[in-house]
Amino acid sequence: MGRTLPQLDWVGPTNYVARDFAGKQAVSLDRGRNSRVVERTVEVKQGKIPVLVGLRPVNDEEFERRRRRLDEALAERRPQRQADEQQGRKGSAAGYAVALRLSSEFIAGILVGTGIGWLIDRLAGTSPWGLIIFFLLGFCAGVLNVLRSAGLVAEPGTKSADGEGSSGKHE
Amino acid sequence: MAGDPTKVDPIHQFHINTLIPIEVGGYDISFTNSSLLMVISVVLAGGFLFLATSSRGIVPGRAQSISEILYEFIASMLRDSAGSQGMKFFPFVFTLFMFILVANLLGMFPYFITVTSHLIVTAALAVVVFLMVLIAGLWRNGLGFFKLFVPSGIPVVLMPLVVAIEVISFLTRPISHSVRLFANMLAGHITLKVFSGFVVSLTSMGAVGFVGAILPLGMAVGLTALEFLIAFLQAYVFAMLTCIYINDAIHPGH
Repeated sequence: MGRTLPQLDWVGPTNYVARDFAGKQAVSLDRGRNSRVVERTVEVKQGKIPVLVGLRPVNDEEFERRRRRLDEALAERRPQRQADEQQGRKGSAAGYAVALRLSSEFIAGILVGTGIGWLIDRLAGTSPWGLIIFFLLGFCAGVLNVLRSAGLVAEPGTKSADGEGSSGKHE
Repeated sequence: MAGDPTKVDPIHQFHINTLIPIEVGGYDISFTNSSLLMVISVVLAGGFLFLATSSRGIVPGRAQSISEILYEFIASMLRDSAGSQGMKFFPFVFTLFMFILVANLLGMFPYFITVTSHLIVTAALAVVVFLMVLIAGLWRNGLGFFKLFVPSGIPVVLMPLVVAIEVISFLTRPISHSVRLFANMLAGHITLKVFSGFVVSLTSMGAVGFVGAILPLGMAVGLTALEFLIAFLQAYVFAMLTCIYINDAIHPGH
């Protein structure tokens, strides 16, 4: 280990390196001692001007692994960003949007419930019981809608573990 | 309007004018100013994306950057809420988003009608989403799709009640989905028109009116900026809700 190897962030398929790195050894920083030979370089041109010299993506598996690593790294930062967005959204226009959203959810519940009740009455001749019962059920559905919309009750179809993530983005 | 130029009717902007009268089988399917704006929206959105992505530079230009940002925005939204399986629905969600976004933004031009401020337009879009979720859910999961209405861990006694409420809640989706977009666009444009109307009425009253008109003019300018934000935000909300509903079609289980 007498000589110093050129250092790269990561010797991988998408790392762009200087032209004369081809066929030489390089050290990747994130794996510490792991040194690899730069496999083959490729020139990328736009028009006639070479803009980038780098490694052709040779290994799909390697690429996929890198992508997952990046996703994980991004996922760590994501909740923070969401919290920031929610903070910023608490302006006056946001309050008005929330009011509109919650009221429309509630009214929609009652309207649909009453509509179903009215239809059942018409078809089965049970007037007025269908209307009464489904109006009340519609009321419940409206309340449920509002609670879901406000993120106080988990969405259907989401597990409780990731329910928080989706309800926070519900606007 | 009734001939009086100082009176501004805030509802007049939503009036539908027939451009080419067409009637088929007793139904009026005339080509209206609303239809024209929809066609323009589709052509603009499609044309822009087509031109922006035609060069395919490795270092993107301005237009290509915008189209890539739009793509990434919707793709990550869909992937986050419906998983990678949901990407099959990407063309649908992206089309909806682009159409609503362009239609909302076109509505900000003076004398242009805002197509999304008509309930029938947003309701049609919401019903398409609703039916697609229903059909795709039944197609993929068969009867397992109905597990969506049966929350886990509920006592058997309460089951009929809870299922009925869940079914009604599911049926309300197209209503709140469409009303949210429609009401936001309608309310925003009416407010904007009312404040602009104040400016017109006040300035016709002479010198005092001119000074008084400064305030509503400032409001109108501020509201215009807000409306641009809402135009984007509501397109985003519509696409976001579509993603959440698509997630139910793919993963109905609990």
